[in-house]
Amino acid sequence: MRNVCLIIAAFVFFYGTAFSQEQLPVQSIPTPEWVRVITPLDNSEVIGKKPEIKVEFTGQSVRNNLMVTFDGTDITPLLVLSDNGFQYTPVMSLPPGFHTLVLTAFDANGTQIQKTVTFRSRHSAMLEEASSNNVASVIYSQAIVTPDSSSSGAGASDFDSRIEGNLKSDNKIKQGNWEVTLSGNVRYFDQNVPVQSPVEKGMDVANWLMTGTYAKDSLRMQASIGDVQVTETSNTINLNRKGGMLQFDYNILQLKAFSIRSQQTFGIEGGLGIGDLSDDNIVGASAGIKLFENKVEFRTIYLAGEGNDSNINVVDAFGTSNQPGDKKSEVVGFLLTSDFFQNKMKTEFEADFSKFDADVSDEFGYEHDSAYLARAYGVLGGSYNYDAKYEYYGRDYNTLGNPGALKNKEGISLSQGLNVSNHNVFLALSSSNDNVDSDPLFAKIHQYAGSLNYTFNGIPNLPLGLGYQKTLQESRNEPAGTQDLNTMTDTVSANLNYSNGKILLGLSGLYSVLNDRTLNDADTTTATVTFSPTYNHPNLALTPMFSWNSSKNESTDVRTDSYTSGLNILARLFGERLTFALGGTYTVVKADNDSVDTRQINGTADISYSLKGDYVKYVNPVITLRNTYVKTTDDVNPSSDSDNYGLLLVLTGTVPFSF
Amino acid sequence: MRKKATITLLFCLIIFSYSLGLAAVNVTPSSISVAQGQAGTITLQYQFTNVLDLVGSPFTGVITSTNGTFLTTDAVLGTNPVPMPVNITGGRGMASEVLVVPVGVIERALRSGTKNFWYRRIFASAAGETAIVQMNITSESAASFNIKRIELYFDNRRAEVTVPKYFPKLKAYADIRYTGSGLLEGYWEVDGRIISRVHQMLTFGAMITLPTPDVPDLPTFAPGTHILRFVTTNQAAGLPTPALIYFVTTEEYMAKKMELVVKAPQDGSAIERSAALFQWGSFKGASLFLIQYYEDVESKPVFSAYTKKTSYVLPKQVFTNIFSSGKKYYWKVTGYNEKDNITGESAVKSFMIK
Repeated sequence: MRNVCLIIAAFVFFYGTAFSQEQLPVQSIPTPEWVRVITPLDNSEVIGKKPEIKVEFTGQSVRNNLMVTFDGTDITPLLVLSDNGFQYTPVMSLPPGFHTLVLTAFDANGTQIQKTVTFRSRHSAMLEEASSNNVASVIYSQAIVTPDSSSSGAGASDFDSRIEGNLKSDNKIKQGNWEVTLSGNVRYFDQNVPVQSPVEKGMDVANWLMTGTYAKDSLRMQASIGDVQVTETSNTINLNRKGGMLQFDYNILQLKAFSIRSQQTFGIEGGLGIGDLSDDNIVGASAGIKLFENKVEFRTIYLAGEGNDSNINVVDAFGTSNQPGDKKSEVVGFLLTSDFFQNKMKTEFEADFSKFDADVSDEFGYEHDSAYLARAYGVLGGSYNYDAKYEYYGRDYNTLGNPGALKNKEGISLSQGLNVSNHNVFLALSSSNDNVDSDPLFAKIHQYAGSLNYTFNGIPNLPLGLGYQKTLQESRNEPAGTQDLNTMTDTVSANLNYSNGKILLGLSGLYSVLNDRTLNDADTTTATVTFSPTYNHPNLALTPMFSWNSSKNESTDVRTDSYTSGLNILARLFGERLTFALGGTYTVVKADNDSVDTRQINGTADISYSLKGDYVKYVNPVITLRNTYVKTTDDVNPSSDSDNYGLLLVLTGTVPFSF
Repeated sequence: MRKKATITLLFCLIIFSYSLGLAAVNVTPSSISVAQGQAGTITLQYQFTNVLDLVGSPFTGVITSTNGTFLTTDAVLGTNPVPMPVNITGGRGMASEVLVVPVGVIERALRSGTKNFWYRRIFASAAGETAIVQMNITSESAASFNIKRIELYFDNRRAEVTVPKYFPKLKAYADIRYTGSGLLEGYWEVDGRIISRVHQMLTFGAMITLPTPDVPDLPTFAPGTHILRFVTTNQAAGLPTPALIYFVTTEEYMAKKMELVVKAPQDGSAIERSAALFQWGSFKGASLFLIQYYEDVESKPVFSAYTKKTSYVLPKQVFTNIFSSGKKYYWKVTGYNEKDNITGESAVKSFMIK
């Protein structure tokens, strides 16, 4: 925490001392007869983001036929004109670099006369570019009516008082080939009752990223620290975690090195994510080279690490919940991609080799395995696209860089899309099996899947979509005593949307049957219908929603229906000073064997008034009355019934400041 | 050999006693499948009946199992050291246990050449009630339908995001790794309020990504910290419900771009050099306009101009070296508010100079 604050403070101090408004000494040049540019002078260097332009007419006044362009844009309508000249302050901040001011007019003889001034600008004496954009938010909530009990979490309203603050900061400095950016959010949270995880009381740096870049010609070097995104392939690593990354690009070469945490963490818990975190750390590197005019790229990736993202003993796990066990892995991957035919046929070939220990506490060590991918895809004639794939994942293939990656699967798939006039057809077919090692202890499960989706756009504002999917699964080579598997799943879906300016109507339906063709006969059906009309106007947005679902387990002959209705309203009145916002849901879940029968209404309604005016225009204070209502009725377990109303007075303030 | 026969006889006796209704403890489920190569988590429900004391009367008090044991017919695969006390009243009682089946136990069973083993708990009582659960090792595809892992994230691939007030279309995603096939039922909730329900048929032990619905949006009208969860109602036994955090700042999201309606010239019309007037409608929130002219809409503009009015006349100077007669040009206008943010934009129109 202290390190991060120091970095932010140092950055702001460095920026503050660097930034000042002044003009460097310039060389004087002869002025033409009809006009004299007072500032900026030709070939000068100006310090500032919006340097003022002052011009004096030295000959006859040309104010009636003058045109002034600045960097190619006519600014004449914005000039403050007088008989003696004009002044202009740029409406937007100027990027650092060269700028051109061109004055064009016609003299008394109708001859076009012109004056051009070129100057260079920078944001401060020390730095070419320096900017800091910040917004501070403060929220104070005081309960007027406290509900008896409420749902858990920071959003719950069973507190007497709560204060929250957030400082959002985006900073950038640039000098020559160097550029440094720092962005992040510093957060404060406190309330009079304990708070449930993953939220914690006190000050924290919710997220931050600092990036330093050096770029010159074909060379680019970048170092990032904070919440970094490491993306290679889905079989190796694709994570956004706390840590650091170095990247080096030069012409056709790219090198990357990273060190990140394996777990998702909130705030500065665990520090920077680099350094000695032997039980929660992924380190790795990748190298790439582009050949044949960038039509071919070869990459190799290596990563190693240890981690445990199970959160099994946490009430509200932050982001991830997984099976327990400290896991350890090493992965080496090779990727070859090509695009010789301008998107008509791209290819990908990937081979990955992993060592993975699913639980370092037991006597078993690494399991070695591999994964392979071969893929061809592209677009032909602008209307036909295809994607053909072969994938193999070994039984023990695994990577900490993507814990959700598949394993023990082998299969091929082909998808094709055709767009002709107002008709769009998409067909996908696949075949796969598990037990890739043909282990005699297990059966081999085969799956065949096909889906066909059709969209019709022939009626303006009324697109129609239809879909059908069929999946077959069956087991083969079952060892003695193994129950066979034979299921067929059919799914049909349809959606219809209507849009007419501010009104949008959406209707969708889905029906799915899982047919268990074994003696178990454990069939399952589910049907869902959703209707969602919306009305959007800058001062009034209405979004009601209704959804019905029915699911039936044929083996138990129990059908469960759930109804969900929602209503969202946002209304702005009296010049946007008064705002009414509502978010509410009513749900009913009922089983036909009376094992479940619950209803819940849950809503929050805010009435807000903005006190922004001439005296407080930089703070934008808003006073809000927040009503919360939760009523639960459980006819099966009446002890769960509740009926709670809460009323909060909420004061908020916004302080934007930039320099 | 004798040991194996003894254990087999013990299991037979237990199953026989269940069938006679004499067993004092019943476990649900009595049989589960666990996937090879990964730990498994399952919730077991224990129901006790006819627990008797030493004199044969219904027992009241606490009985405890000091640990659980994973075993095959001829070997102990591992031990669960977590003790389990159960309150018994009048010979009856109920308890539940979130059982983790370590991957090492599964691997030991496979290496001993079997894919079947048992989990056993013995409770210290007069009769020594014994609970047995049969476990079958399968591949992921053939295992019972179960959630193995859930990862939630926003568009930034993180479990936390900061958005301005009234931010539209905030989306979150749930990557769900599962075994077997079945119907996934769950719901998205924000601060305890259900936003939408999910009913999805899943097959073949794979991974699916579920996004939050397009309608309704995740609520962003209340500044402050909000907790978003994906709650599964029929699976994920034993796994904690993961949560996301999103913080809504007090700064309002910049309003959606409004359309600036072009009034003149008519699209595709030819205009006189002396009357090259361009006009458009406006709205509150647009105080500065940038009008841009193109030879090709995909390229940089050939000319542009700022104005605070809702019209602009091409000055005659531009006809000298920028615009040519008989050539087709495109134009559009962009509106800015007082903070220099873009608030409106027109459609791209074309014209020709006579």
